[in-house]
Amino acid sequence: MEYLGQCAVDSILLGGLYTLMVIGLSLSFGITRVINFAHGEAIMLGAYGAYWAMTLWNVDPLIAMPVLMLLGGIAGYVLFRILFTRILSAPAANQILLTFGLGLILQNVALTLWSGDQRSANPAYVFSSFQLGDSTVAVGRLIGCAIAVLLVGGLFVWLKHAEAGRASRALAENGEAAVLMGINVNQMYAIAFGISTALGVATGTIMSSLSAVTPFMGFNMLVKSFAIIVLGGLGNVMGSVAGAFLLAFAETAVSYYVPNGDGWAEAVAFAVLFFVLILRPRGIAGQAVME
Amino acid sequence: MSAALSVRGIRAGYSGSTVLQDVSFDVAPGEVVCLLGANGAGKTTTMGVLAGLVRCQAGEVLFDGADLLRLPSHERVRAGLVLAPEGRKVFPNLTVEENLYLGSYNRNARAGRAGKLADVYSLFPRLSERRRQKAGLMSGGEQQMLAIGRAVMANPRLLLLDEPSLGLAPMIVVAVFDAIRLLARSTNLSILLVEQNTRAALSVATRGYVLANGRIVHSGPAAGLSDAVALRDAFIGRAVNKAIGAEAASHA
Repeated sequence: MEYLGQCAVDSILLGGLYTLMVIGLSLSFGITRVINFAHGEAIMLGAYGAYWAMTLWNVDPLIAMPVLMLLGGIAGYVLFRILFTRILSAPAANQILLTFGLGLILQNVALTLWSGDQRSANPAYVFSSFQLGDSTVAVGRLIGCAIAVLLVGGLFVWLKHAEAGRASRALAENGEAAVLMGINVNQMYAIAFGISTALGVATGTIMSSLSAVTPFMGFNMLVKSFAIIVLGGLGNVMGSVAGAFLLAFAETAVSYYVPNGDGWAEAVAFAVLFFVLILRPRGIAGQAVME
Repeated sequence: MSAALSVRGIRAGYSGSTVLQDVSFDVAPGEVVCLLGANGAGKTTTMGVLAGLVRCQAGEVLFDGADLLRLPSHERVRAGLVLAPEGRKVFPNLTVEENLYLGSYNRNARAGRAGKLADVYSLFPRLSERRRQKAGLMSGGEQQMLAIGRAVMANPRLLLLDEPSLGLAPMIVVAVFDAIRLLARSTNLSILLVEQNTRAALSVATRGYVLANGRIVHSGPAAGLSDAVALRDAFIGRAVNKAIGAEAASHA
């Protein structure tokens, strides 16, 4: 096997980013129990935000990131308070329609604002790289992965130690008991959703220099996230992390070892969804989740 | 400061069925009052109305003279009305200590958290031994202690205890009620206790009410109440048996 080291390096760097991508989606689902089909659009808008920062104000995407995350977080919080609180106890179909419809609207807003052309935000360092043994490490991907790890780590610390983080874990376990603790449930939902959106925006900001930015990139990201969740099991955080690296490895391996693999790599997520749902519907590592 | 509760003619229930027809009772500051009654009498619904989990259709609840029903649930906790719910409802995947910390989530309780934690651990040494354990892995009795401890962490002025003896072995019931008796001695706490276990409840309460079919049917000092309850139970039992007998006869 040629390129094995290179394949491993690329998988790890991509896996870190995928972890960030999926953790936002898992967070909002775990706490609010609403599957956010518009999470990909948060990623997409984050990517365009970085593109604008770069082209309009010549600001590096990574420097713009905290501001973009803050804006995304506020937008997520407000959207949740205005729209999502209305469908919290609605049938799943209504929830899907709302979030899916929201995603469509955001896609078309992006199409109007930025057209369908492929964009990207490319600061100089994304083109540099260094040698690690036989493998080449792309600096842009390394930075992206490092930031993703930092954000995911930060989220875990928040969940574990912060007052609100602890409260949101309690809320995920038992909503009624959480009320009895004096937790303002609707506000806590909205905060969790805001954080989830901010993490989506961060994912997009990192991706703006690694892949093409289009109004429809969000759907791809969503499918990949679902493939990861399906691999790791819904509501299983460590499973999601493992799933992210597994998908990253599968995609990278396909692009290296399959003829014309670059194109096929994008289909891996669909194949994973397809086969896991047929063969092992509860996920590879997951347990069944009661709905 | 302990708080006074005054419940005036509340009617409440769930979609389509009214559980509480007309319930009125009082808890004076520092008092321990129990609410007794058979399964389905409306005890837990009453607690639900007080905690804000069940919507009240009519009537009035005054908490220290202020309209309680206008406050959303989470603000009632901050005001000092705290429920340890039926079935304990601890957070199973969180540790014992995390559960207790969540008890003092409300802003009025956060400042004195460390002191309260020490109080709870001395009240229930068992919880201190298990502080790092996941709450879901503990026995029913330990979970009940945790549910009470968690409520105490909230800095309550009126503590609502819903069926603390539910599903516990007799020896554990004694331990739990010993702790409730200790809590009752504290001058800054009123307690409203809901129980099916009449004897245990009357051993800590000074006064009690008996609830049947959504109405208060008896009230009085604890000492006199146990006879009234026994009588009531016997009466209901006979009436139900008679009804079942009649139904069986009509099917025969």
